[in-house]
Amino acid sequence: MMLARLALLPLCLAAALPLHAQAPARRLAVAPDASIRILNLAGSIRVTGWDRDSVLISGAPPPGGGTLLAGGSERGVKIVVEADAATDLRGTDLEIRVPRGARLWVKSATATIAIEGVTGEVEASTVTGAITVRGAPAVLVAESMEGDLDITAPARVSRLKTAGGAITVREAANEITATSVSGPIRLLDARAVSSGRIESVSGRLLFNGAVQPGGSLDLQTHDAPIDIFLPARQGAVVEVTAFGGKAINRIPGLASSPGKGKALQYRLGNGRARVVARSLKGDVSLRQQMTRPNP
Amino acid sequence: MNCNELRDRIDDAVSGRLAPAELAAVEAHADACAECRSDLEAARALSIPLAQLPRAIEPPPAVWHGIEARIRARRRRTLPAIAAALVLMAASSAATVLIMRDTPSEVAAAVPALEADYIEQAAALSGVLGAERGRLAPETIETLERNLRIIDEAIAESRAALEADPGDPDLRLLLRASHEQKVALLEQATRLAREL
Repeated sequence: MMLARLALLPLCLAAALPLHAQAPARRLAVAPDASIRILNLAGSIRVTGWDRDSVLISGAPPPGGGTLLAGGSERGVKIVVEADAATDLRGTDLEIRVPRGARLWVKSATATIAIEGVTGEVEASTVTGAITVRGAPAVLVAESMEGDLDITAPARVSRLKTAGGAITVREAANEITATSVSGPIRLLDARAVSSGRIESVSGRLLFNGAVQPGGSLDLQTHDAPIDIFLPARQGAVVEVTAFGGKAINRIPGLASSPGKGKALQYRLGNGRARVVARSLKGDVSLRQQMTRPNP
Repeated sequence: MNCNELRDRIDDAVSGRLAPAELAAVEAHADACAECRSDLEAARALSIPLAQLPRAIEPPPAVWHGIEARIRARRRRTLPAIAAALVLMAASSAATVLIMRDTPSEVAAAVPALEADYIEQAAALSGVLGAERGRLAPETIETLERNLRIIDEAIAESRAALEADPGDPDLRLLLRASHEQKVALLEQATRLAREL
């Protein structure tokens, strides 16, 4: 292993090296927690964590479509596709394996981004490409202007943002912030949210899952509906403020009492979690989680 | 304590209104979280000048023209972002102070000042973005403008609702959230234009 690393070291320390279209997969030795920065504007980027201290890069631009540059050191690697012309829309499909604990930074314009099995910090950003993340990154920051975010990655901290794209999060846990302007946001099978802020202007919000005892969840829209599905055993104080819309309670036997301002308050079980939902014009509905949990 | 809880307490922490135990929890979280530590340090750096500020300022139009001229002249990439971040922190802190401290009548009077900070920041970012606009694809500009229209309509409706019921804390939060969405979207678009 050490000999292999030494043999690869000159490659890693050299300035960025062009990889041509016909080149086979390239491998760079890195530390288990190295920073990996990837930029590929169009096409696709697939990153998979593996249990090796190296980065493996497959894929290359089409002939005349640009140059793939990769280089850096044991602590950090940069992988960049430089298009020959800004108008070249053919794109490059990259497949990259990185150490599981790597810190990952991925950026695209239209390229789709798929990340799986990385446990370090992950930051992914795109304009119109979709972002998919699977696994358990320590921290996840994902952002798009129009692309959808599809996340199944219960990170310690998640910050997700789109303007017009949809955000879907499965098995959300811990601390999560998800915001959009017009895109819908759905949290499905949320397991144990300790602190959540889910906010949109005109995108519909759906929360289906559990909030930790002592945890808090805030949901807010301007004119879109908010649907909240809580498990039967959820203990929470739920405050609902629907100014122009309706507050709809579909939990059998649950009565409301006046809360702060115009809010209606509902107490579930021991009331140890706090859920707040407010909308200026949208309806807010409160329901018990169904046997089939994801409507 | 988590990051959201710390952010809720940041103004009280810097202004000495937290109980010792709660302050210790804030410090402990900040020690372990670089992002929150940075926010806390920035809020502390602002807290003394902030305390010396008047409670409401109506900036004359010439102020913004001067800012815009300086931004355009410098065209430096980092300074406008730092300035925008400082304005946002100051606006956020000032808004929190206003919301938490004042009586309903004082809050009603302060609404224009609260909005003015966000409007100024959005204008500054729009100016920067205007200079970088050519770097964005036409579809991205269309998406950006469509979503800005949605936010502007929400701001107008939230403002009207708050004017009709100035003492409602939820309406203040909704108005503030729409302004924050606009600033965040403009920041995102500016960042995209620069980085891609």
